[in-house]
Amino acid sequence: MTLGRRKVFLIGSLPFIFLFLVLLYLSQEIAIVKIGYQIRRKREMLAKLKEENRRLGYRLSSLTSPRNLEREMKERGIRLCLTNKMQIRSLEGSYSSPVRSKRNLRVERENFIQGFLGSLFSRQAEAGQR
Amino acid sequence: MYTRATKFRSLFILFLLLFCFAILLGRVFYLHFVPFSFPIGRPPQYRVACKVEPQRGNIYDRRGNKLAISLQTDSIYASPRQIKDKVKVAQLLSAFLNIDEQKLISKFCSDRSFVWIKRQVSQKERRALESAHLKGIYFLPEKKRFYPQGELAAHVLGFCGIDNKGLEGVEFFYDDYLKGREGWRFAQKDGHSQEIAGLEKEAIPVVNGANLTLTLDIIIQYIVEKELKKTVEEYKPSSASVIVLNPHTGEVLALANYPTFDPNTFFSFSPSYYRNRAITDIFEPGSTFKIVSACAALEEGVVSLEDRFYCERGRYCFKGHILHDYHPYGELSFSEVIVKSSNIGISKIAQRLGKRKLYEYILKFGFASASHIDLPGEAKGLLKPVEKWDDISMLNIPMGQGIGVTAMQMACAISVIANGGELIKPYVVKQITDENGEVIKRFLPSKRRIISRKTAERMREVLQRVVEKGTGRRAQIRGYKVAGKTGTAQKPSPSGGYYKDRFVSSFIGFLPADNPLICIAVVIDEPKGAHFGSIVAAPLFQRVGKQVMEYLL
Repeated sequence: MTLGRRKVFLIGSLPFIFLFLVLLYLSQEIAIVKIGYQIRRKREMLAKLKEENRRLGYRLSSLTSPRNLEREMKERGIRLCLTNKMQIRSLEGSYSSPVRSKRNLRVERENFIQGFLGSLFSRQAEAGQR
Repeated sequence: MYTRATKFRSLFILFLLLFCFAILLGRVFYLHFVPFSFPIGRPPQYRVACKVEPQRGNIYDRRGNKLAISLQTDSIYASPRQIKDKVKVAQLLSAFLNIDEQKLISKFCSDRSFVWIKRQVSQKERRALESAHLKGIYFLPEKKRFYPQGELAAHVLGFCGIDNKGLEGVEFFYDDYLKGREGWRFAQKDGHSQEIAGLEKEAIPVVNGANLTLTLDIIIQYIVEKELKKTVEEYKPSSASVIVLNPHTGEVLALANYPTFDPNTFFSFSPSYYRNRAITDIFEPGSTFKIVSACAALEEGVVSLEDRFYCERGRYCFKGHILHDYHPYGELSFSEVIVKSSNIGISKIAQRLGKRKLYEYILKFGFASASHIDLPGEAKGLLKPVEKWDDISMLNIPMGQGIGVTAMQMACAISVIANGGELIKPYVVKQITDENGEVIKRFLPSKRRIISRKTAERMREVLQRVVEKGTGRRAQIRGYKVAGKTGTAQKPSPSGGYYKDRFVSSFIGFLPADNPLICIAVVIDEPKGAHFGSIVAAPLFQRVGKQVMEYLL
């Protein structure tokens, strides 16, 4: 049996094609592993940042808790007083949602300061004004 | 030209190379298509099944303020076999973590490969331990529950144990929603024990816990707790409860008890402090219960507001039993009986009604049955079946003796008058949302009519007079019409009869009386120095009511 030159060349080039394919495949596998490491690092970073976000949220909630705010105000000597004209507003509550009237946030905050925190310091502040 | 030998050598090398590449190719295909089932040649330590712990859901108040949150902390464990100088390591750990040294040594002497040293340590403790670089001591991340508002609403929130399971309050009641569902992922590790994300296959996805939005408002809760603390300092009661309800929906806006605890450090408090006394503790309500007898009589039409009752000058003999009034009265109208809180008057009103009708209305008002609030441990209260009522029952039950109620039941009862005759179901959770904010479950008000709107309006007028002219004058709030009823009850003795020096002072009411926004129930158990509801409980109601109205409007 004799093989022509062309056939020998074709058969001889097959291993190199295989080699190329194998190298291509291996490089892909290595890339997968490398990207896998990157994904893992990013995931860890994301988890860390999320955790940090939760931690900061917790800290913020602690700092803005009414108890803490009142303590800070007392320690720093922040005095709030009632406005001269204390306004009693008519109620707008409905049966479906009677608890919160539909006033804007600014008015709510003003009243909150006047009524809730202001009552703590109003006498001192008034005395100070005189 | 190729010789025969050359051709043979070429073909031999060619087939050898082909054979080698075929093997390589086969291996490559094997690795590619069967990545997770390496029966041989792939050590099992490279394949890991990782449990993914869900994030426990957060708890918010009605305005979105965080009340409970889970954060990552570190727990410390040891591998005793790796520790060489066990005594020295025990000394160091004892100093850093404040643990008994002998206990640590005994742990280190065990033959186990894993022993807990301390769970959920603080950042400070972790940093101190890290700097020591102790061999055989390791950290394991764990989730821990934190409550940023501290003691605020402790009895509603409850707390979680070391394993992050809810043990009290809504943490316990809604544990199934809050805890989420753990997931599993199957991953592979490299030679350095690092997971290869690219070869990961998630089998069971993790479901994080749902978030709860409560009906509580932290500002109202804070007002209540702050004012309750003042009353506790002044009268030193053995316990106390205050509830603020929305009378139209049953939303609990604030619920506070004394004694209280900090859920962040619940283990340092006596378990009796965990008790949500507003729903678990039963007491005899005294005169506040007169509103039930009065409503029943008005609803049944056996009395009118103008009907007059002779109050026997403070001493009433009924079938061999004697009933007293604190102040002796002659003839009083129906309204005056309530305004002046006459025991004799209300007993006579109840006699017109009859015991079966009275019993029926007591049940209608939700007494002797749970209010079904979404909190654990609720008591139903105590009430004898009407068949077992004796002669004295018609004297003492109408005025709130011989019946056991909870503060929550009294808050619901006063809400009936405030909202026009409907008994509401109180609740503390407004809605449950998933981690993306989608609503899973929304809780809607539930109520049923038990008395007519007309009866409720009449009673509202009477209760307004109680605050304007009667026993509840200390509950008056400038600028608002207030309706309410005081109560002072002697505490029953386990050996029979009543203590002469132990009382439960209470006040239940609502405001503004003409368009109620809030109902407040105040119960002070065994106050010292004073015992009348008008002296002890009404001023607390007044302070809370005033500040809450200023905040709400």
